[in-house]
Amino acid sequence: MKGVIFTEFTEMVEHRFGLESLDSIITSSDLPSKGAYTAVGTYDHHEMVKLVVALSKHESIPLPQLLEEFGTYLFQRFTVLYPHFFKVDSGLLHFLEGVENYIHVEVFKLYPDAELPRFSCSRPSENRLIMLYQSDKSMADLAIGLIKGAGAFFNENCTIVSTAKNDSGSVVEIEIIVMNE
Amino acid sequence: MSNLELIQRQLERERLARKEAERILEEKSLELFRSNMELTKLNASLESQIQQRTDELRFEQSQLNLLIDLHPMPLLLVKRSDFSIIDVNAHACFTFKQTKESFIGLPYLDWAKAIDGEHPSTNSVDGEREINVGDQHLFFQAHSTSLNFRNEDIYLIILDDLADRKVILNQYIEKEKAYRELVENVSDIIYRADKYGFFTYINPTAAHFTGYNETELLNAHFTSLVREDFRAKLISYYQFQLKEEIQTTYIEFPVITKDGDEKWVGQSADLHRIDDENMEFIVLCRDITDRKKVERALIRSEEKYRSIIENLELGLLEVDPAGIIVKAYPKFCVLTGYTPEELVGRNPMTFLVDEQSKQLIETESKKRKKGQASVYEVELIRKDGSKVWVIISGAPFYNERNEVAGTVGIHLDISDRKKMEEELLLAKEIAENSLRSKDQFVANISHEIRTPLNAIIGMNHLLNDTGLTEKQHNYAEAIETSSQNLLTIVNDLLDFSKIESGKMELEIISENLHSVICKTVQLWNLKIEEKGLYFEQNIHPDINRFYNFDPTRLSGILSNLLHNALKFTAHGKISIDIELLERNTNSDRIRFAIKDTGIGIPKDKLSAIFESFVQAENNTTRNFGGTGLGLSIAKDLVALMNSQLTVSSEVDQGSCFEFILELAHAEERVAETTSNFDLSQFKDKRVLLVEDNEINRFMAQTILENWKLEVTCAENGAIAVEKLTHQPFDVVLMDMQMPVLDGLQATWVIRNKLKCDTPIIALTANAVKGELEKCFEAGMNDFLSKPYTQKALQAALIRVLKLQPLPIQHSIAEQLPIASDWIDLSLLIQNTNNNAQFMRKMIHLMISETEKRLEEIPGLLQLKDQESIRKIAHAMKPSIDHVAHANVRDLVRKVEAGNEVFEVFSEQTNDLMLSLKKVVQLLKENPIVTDN
Repeated sequence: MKGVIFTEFTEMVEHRFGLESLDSIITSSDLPSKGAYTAVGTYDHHEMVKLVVALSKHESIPLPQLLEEFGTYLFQRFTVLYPHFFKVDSGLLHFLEGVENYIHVEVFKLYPDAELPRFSCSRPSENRLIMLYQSDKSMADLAIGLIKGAGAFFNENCTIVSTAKNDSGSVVEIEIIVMNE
Repeated sequence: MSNLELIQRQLERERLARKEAERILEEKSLELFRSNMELTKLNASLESQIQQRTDELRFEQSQLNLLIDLHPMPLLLVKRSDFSIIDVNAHACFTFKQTKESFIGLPYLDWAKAIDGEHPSTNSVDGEREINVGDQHLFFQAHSTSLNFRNEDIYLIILDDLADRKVILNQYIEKEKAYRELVENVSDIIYRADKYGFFTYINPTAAHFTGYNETELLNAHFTSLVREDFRAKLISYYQFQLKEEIQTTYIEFPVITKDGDEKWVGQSADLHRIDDENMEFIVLCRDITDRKKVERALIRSEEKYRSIIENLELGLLEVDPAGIIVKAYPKFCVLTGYTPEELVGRNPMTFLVDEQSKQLIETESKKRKKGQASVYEVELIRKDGSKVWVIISGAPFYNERNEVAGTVGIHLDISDRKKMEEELLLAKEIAENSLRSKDQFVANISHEIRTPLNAIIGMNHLLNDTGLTEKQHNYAEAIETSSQNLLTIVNDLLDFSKIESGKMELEIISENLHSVICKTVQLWNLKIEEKGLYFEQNIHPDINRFYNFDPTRLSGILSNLLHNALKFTAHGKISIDIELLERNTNSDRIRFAIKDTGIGIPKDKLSAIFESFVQAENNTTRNFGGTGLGLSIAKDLVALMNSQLTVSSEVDQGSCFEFILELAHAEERVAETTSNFDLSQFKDKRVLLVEDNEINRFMAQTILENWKLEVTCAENGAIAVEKLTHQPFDVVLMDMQMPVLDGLQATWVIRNKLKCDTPIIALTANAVKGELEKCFEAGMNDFLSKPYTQKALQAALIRVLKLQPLPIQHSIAEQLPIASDWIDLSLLIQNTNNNAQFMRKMIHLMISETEKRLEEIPGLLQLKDQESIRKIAHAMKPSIDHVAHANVRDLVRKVEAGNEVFEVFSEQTNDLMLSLKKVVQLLKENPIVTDN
């Protein structure tokens, strides 16, 4: 997992829960990196799992919720860090459709070793999009959070329905329905 | 945890993070640098490739330009839009005598004017065009291609000089002329006809052949020349060719010329397709009239031969190399009852012959394949199942490649001949059977004759012993001689039939050859001399030893030969020569020869004399007597001894019969001496005499009773068994052939039912091999061969009763040296029948006689009276023969012959006198002789 995720996470934890919480979860988790993350680095994604689990325990927030909130936060940070990907006039669903084929493609060009989830989309109607999430990290909640963040960015109200397609959570069907105002 | 600590830890983490970031940065920078280098390199290589390509393109471009320029025909490039010439090649400049620049911009269509051809079109660039060059009008054929060249749409126009074409055309015209002349002048008919059969072209030969001219022929139908009866056939033939589009056909047919002559042609017609609808015939036709004549003659000849063959009495069959019938001629069909259709295509082996003959047919088949002809007989099966014997002469025939193309078999019915063969075979069998039964009959008859004959002889002997007067004695002698002669004849006959039926067997015993010969010779000595002939004996002394041979038969042979010599010699001498040719370790080779100075045998009769029943001359029996069997038997007997009796003879000079035997050495056998046996041992021994013949019975009984045996008689086997049941006997004498119960059967009963082991002696007339075995198997102990001598009977009884022959009481003869250097009493003994008294008397007589004569000789010698001395010798001979050794006997003969000159004769006589004195002295000295 790219270091940027880790740095954003630690920033978020520091700002939202305080330095102490951050320090606590770092020290309580057995991290090979010792919690020293740089945005340009690459680290084992299990460290993220440990941190998130530790945080969930520490703050008594259910894990899925935590991941979702992080996802929303992360999206907002993406729009700041990589502004060229986010053009307002594209529309939420159009944007989401382009995640796999456009954004992720560009990511791979720069970071060939990036471990990104795969999305396959189908657009049953103008305002409905079904994204099939596939990743062995089983972090669909993060994805949902990101999607929510996207909804906020594009200023479009949407409803998200997710259906796990298997027990491990590595395949999840996410349906986004845009509400017309 | 204090804030400070937290912050410190945070700072530490951030420091680490920064370090990490710096490291990563370094890494990335290096990567970037490297990528840069790669790109630069790639760029450089790309640029060089581009340069290379560009060069290549330029080169190609220049090549193309060269091609265009060098093209041997004028090439123009014309703009499509306005038909202006934009470029030309070098040849165009040359041909049209203009510079390249002067061409540029020229309007093509005006410059190269179109000649009004088939397809006029104002803007057409192609076709025949006229171009003016100065005063000349040149003509070209323009060929155009649309291209985009150097980025412009153009026509590439090639101008083809028509002048060249004219040259080529001329060449074709020349060639055509040459071919036409060929066709016109050939000796065969060549013509063309359309698909309907009408002539479209004919060559001169056609006109010449048919007698019609060109005008008459062209557009006539080809069938108008054909003989009427062939027209329809030809029309349909060629219609067929047309329909099936057959390329080439050949057919022969008759043609009628204008003059009405008939000629034959052989026509080869080729079918040619002109276009989609049209075909034509190109035909070559040859005059085959002559050939046809030859063919016809050949056919007639073949017809002639065929009809000859078809009508032969012999059945002809043709088969192919695989053995399948190809053709069956009429007579063969008649012979076998099949029609030709039923025969052709079939394999004769499957139905014309039976299983046994198949092998034969196979063998013959193989022979044919090898090119061999042969003749053989086989039985064929007719259609109706009956069989017929045929003789087949089979031969292969060949095709033009000299391979076997099949076989022809000529069959001749030989059923008649076969029938005759079978009948002959049957007749032969009957004859042989008859011969066999005849042989049997002869044997039986001989036996039947011998029985009473032996009785006569036996009775005669008995009679002789009863003390007869001299007259009676003479009569008895005569009876003896005659019956012996008769016996000899019958024995000869029996021997002959035994030999003929292959039942003769030699009885080999160990015997002294010398004694046997001497005994035989003694029999003839007297007889020969009585006839006035000189008898010479040359017997090799070394044969005086024992050999294994059949003395009876050898004696018989010698007797026969001597008998014949005696018969056929009127004067002169008969000699017997026994020569030792070779002495080997285990055997001796001895030559026996009997010579005479008789009438001899003509050369052409030499082989005939050995045949049975044949004599040298038809009147021989009348003149000389004899059955003619003797020599034949002698020859067969010699053959049995593994030798050959040969004769050499000259008419009126004499004959010599000889044979050579290889005799094996044998141990000396002590002779059975039954002559001195104490008859008292026989006394009271009980003998059962079983014999159905009254005479024989009486004779045997008399002899036995003379020996003081107690004799009981039985007429047949049944009575014998009866008697044996009730009383014991010491010995049984059993005849073989009897009614009711014969010898063998009776013996069997005695042995197995009565369980009696009294010794039984068989009295058998047929002492042949099988017979004796049967006797012993039945349980008999000994046998006597009929006719049997008293001695033999005595010996058998002694053997069977296990009696002791006494220590030999030497007879007078044995007390005297029988065969010493001077004395030989064998003849005396024989002739006196070993009667001591008789012998003594004789010896005395001989001594006194001899002495008397010896006194006379010296005086006669002085007087040189050879003749008288000869007479004396002759008178002394009988005595000398009876007592003296062979040497002395020879000597007296020499003197008697008196052939030598007086000096020699005198010496002989003196020798004789000395010998005789010695003999007499020896005789006198012996007390046995002088006694009494």
